[in-house]
Amino acid sequence: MPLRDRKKETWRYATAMLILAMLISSSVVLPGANVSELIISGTSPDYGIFDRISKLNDEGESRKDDPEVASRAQEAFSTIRTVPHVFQDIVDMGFQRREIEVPEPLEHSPVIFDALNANPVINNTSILDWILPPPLSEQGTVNYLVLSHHPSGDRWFLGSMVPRIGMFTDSSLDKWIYIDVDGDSRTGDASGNDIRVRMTFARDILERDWEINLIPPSVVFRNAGMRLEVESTTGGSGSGVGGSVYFIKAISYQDRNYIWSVGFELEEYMDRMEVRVQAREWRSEPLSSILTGGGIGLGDLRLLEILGPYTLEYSFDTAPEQLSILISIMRMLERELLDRAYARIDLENDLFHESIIDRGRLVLKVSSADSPIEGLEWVAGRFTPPDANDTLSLRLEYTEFGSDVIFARFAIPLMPSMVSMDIANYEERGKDVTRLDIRTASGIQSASFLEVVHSPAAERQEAQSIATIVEMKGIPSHIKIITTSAGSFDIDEDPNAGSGFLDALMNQVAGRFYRVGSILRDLPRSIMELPSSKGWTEIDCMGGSIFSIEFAYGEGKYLALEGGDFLALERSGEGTPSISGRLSGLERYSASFIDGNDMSLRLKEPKGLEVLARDDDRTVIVSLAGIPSEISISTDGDGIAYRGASQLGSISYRYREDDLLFDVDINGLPTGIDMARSASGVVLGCVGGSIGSVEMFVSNSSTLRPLSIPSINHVTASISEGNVALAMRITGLSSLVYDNSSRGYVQVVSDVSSDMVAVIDDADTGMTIRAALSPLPRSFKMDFPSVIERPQFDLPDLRAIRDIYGYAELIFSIAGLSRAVLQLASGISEGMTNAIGQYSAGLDLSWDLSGSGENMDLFVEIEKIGPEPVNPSSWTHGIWMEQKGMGADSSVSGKIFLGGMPTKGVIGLSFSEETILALMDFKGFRPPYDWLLIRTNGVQDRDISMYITGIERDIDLYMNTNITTDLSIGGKMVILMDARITRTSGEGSKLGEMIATLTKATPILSVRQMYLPEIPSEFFLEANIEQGVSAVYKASSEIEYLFFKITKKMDGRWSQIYAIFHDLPLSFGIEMESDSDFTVLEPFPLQGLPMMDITTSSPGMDIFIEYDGSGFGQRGRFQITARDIGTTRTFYEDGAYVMDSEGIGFISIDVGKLPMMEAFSLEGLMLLGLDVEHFSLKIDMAYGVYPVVTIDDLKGGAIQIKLSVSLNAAGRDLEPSIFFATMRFRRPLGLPVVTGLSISRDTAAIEMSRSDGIVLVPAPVLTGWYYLIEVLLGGAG
Amino acid sequence: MRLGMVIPVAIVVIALSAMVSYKFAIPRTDMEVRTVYHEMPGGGGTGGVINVNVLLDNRGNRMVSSVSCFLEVRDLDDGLIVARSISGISLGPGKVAELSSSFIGSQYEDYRISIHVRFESIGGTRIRDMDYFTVEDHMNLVFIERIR
Repeated sequence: MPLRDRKKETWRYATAMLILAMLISSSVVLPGANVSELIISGTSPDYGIFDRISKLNDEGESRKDDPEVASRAQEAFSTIRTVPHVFQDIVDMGFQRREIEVPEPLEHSPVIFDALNANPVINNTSILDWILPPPLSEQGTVNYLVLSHHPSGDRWFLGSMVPRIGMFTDSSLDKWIYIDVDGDSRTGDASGNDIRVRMTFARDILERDWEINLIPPSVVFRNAGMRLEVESTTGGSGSGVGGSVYFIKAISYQDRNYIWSVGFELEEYMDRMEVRVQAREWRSEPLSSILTGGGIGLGDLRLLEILGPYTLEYSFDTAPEQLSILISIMRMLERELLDRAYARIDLENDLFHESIIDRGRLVLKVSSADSPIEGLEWVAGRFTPPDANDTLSLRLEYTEFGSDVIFARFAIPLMPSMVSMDIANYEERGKDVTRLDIRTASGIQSASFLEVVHSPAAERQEAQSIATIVEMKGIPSHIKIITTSAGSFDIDEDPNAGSGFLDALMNQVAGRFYRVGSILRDLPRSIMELPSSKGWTEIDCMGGSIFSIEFAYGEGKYLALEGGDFLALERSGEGTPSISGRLSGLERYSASFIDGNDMSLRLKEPKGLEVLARDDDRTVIVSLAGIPSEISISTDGDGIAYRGASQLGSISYRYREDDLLFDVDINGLPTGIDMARSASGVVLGCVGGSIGSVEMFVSNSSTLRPLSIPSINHVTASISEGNVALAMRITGLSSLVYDNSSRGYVQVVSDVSSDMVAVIDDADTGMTIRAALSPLPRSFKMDFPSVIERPQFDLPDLRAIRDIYGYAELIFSIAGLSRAVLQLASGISEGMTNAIGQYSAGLDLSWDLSGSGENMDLFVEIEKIGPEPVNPSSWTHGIWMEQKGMGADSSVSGKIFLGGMPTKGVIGLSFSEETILALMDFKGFRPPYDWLLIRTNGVQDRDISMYITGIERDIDLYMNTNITTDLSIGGKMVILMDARITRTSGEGSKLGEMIATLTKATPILSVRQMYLPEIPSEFFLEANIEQGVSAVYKASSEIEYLFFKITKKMDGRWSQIYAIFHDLPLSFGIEMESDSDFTVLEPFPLQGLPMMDITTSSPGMDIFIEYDGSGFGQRGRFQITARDIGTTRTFYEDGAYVMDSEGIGFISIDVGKLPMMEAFSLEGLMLLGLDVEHFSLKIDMAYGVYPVVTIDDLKGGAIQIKLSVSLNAAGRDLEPSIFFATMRFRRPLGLPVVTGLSISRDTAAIEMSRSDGIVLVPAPVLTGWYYLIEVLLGGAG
Repeated sequence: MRLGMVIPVAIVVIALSAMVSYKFAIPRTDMEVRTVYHEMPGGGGTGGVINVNVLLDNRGNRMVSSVSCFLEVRDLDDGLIVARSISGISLGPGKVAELSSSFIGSQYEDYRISIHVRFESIGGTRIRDMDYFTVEDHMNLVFIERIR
């Protein structure tokens, strides 16, 4: 330095010292505080934490493409070898088309109707009057006609029963009618008559089987009735002439006139045939003629009562091979005949006889004329006891003429010698119940029934014939049938019908036959229509079984299998459906449709059943093998329960429609399955085992085939051009829950654990997913992500069946499941694609492997080709996802390997724009590696990286995380981490180092990071930043660090908030609230400082906080370093900002900017303290512009305050150094006593033990001097 | 007293008399409207706390009555952020009334402050509308308007 400069410097220094001495001497000079010990450090201690973070990040990077993991994945996916499934053609599948021989409808009763109408004799009024009862005819009650029908011509005769029966007269008085049947005088007797016939009262009457009662006065006839006799005039060898002969009689009741006829058709009139119709007992009013010993005027008898049973008997002296009995009923209206009903009974010799049994008796069990029928009994041959060998062949045809013509045929080729049928009708639970108890001598070998309803053409309806056939073989000797809604039992016959004695009886007998017929005829229909009539049916073979029942219903054509049991339902257009079926070995059947819908079946032995349903567009074939001998299906409310005596072998379901092909194969069904439907979904559960295996193949395109993977459980979905093909196989299914509520889920439980793979190949979106689960969890529950459109699964509804074809719709409706599955598969792919990059996506997953004792390895590989290439993902132990773009325009590459997954676990993930919720609850976690890496780049617009080390095996891990980072102004930030780690043995465990980083690109690039050197067995941290800041921390053991950082890029620079907590106690809490109260009347600078409350379980924690509020729209910036901090709080008191603490070893608070006024700001305020316990800080503005800082109530070691200011003068911003006058004081008696004064630049320091406070006053004069000297001496001040 | 001394003293006395007369004797209406925009340093969690207060200071020596003041703060897109008002009060000479408002927002944004003041005094009704704009980088601003 030149000499001249040295002198100048010396002068400058001397001048300054002089001025300083002058200033000091102008003050009261007292000793200042000794602050030499105060170590001021403005640097932030990181405790080496950033080195450890750096090393941990490097270690995480090295986990990319782990070769061992890659090898495991390759092995897991090696089982995926797909085979296209072929949908077989199921047009016939062995079913043959058959046709019911529907007879042409009769227009009227054969022979008799035409004969009556055509014969001029009948049209003669006097002749008609002959047979009509009073009042039309004087003698009609006992008159009748006889018609002999023969190819040579019809012959008419008038007949009359003996008008008066003398009490002692002989039957020979009855008049015979002699008939030359063939009109050939060479045949027959000498007169050419071939036969003689007559209708008389039953013989017993004439045998005086009657008595007179005085009380009440009545005449009682026993076994009285009518007798029809046909005799050959040539004796026992037969007449050699055949034909038919009809007895015709009229009755009149309820002001209507009816004509009935009974005819007999024989190939040859034998020596004698007799038919009797009798009632057990008749009661009538006594007639004076009887009392006077005269004859009985039958026409005058006043009938009181007819008591049953009624008996019909036939007998031959020489039985023929065949006898046909022809019965016809007509109504006479205005002398015009209207045909009402016609019956033909054919009795023929059976295979074991050359002729029919020579006698037979049919008993109608009726108590009285006004009581319902109670039974029916047929006995052939000798009546007591019946001979089992007395069999014959029976065929009954019945036609009823009305708006519809009803034709029925009932045939028993080998009619037993005894058939007894008890019939009862009673009311139960508001229903008419019919009970039939049928007994036969030795069962019925076979019986067939045919009914045809011919409907004539009507407006908008073509003529149609609906036929029903039932063929039964091997009917056991005893059957009970109980059913509701069979034919009516109502008595519609007038007990006193008919104007005459015989008319009443015939009316009763005919009416009862009609009633029995209608009951039996209605039986099949009533059974089939029970669901709609809400009735019940029970058929019990009483220990035996029906060898087979075969039935068909429809317009004529139906489908049938050559052999085996089947059910076929077919409908074309709006036409009548055809239903046919065969069931063998039925022992017992019951069905009830009262409240629910219950059906049970007991079969002689397990069997198979083929079911076919078809309409114009759809075909279904269901093959059931090994149906248990006892099964039941019950519907109660919305539940369906199936029960079987043993496992059901297999079910094969094949459905074909133009746009749907659906195959299902189920093997090994358990003994019970329960299904329940609710508004929110479907629940399926197995009882007594599980379903062996379920295989399902479905496609809505004939060209897109489902891909099957043999011998392994799988789900595959192929999607192309909007079409979907899906294949699925699962074994050991024991329960399934499909919940379609707002938070829907699917839960599958199986009883075996086996591997499973899934493949989704969506050509439309370019997405391919492969997954392998080894083994498949026994219990698996997955919540549906909200992005997936969920279909409604409709269970087949038995209650919806209203007619017989409803069963077909039931079978068709099962295919609705496949449509739902297709929709679900398509929805999953589409939903996942659309969800890529979108918010509001979530996933909940739970599983249970605890029963299997195995841990599942999960491998998933996702590739989606999009417009923008994406980095390939890497195999690692954890998750690696790379994504670009959003929705359909995204590109994705992802790989997931989670090894040794917990035996029981729950994963819940929820994403929203600002929030990530993650829940892990693992039981028995046994990872193959002690580290886990999760890295997702671009997923949900975020990059997430989490690397955890030190994971022990066999642990239970619970971790609940909520990261909410709405960094907008007025937004909310939440960091929640609740973790519990224990060994499965129950001891506490822990995790090693963990670092998690979340980077979000939009709307502002921001990064959140958290680091823990270890996660103790119990760990809880919750930090909320919203209107204020609050944080709670708890841990089961002390950890060294907790670090988190939030940074946000603002205007090209990073605004960051980060905190390091060091030597953490077991718990601490931080509350920091902003004080928004503000008044113009008080000094500004200290208004609005945060009120802070820090509580710790023990002292010793170090805190370093770097806070830059610019990221949150705050100008405030501060940095806090605190060591060995105890419970501390700050608050306002009398306008002063107060800090009170258990003790802070060292504290440094560096506040960036405090507002003063427009032209003057405190640019920085740094407060440093050692062993600080208490102080209050106050700034007063002298004259409104002159800050006076007071630090009072000091307790602790030492404190130092440093201020820097900025001035705005004449448009220029200045940040000058300012001299302060610091006045120290004590309060010996509560009043301040000045103990020292010192001058300092920018900084004031105080040792608390020697002062109670300081007043810090800027010294502008001194500052002015300083700057004046600086200006004068060239800036060396 | 020399004349030379009298003149200055007289001037001082006259000046003081004038000032005292102006302050206390001469009837006048003088309302100061002091508007303070203040950014709180302590932050508001995820946003900065901003106060906008209006101090009505009756600096005249007349009573003013039926004082009403409406305050609105809007962002520069004219979105209303906060609005406050007082009305129906009277202020004697030297009395003040403060209208306080605070909101959480970005302290780095500019805002428009609109004030409408109305009061009655001798000489009629005074109405004044004031519009201020905050300026970036100033943590607090004071706007003063006098209504006479």
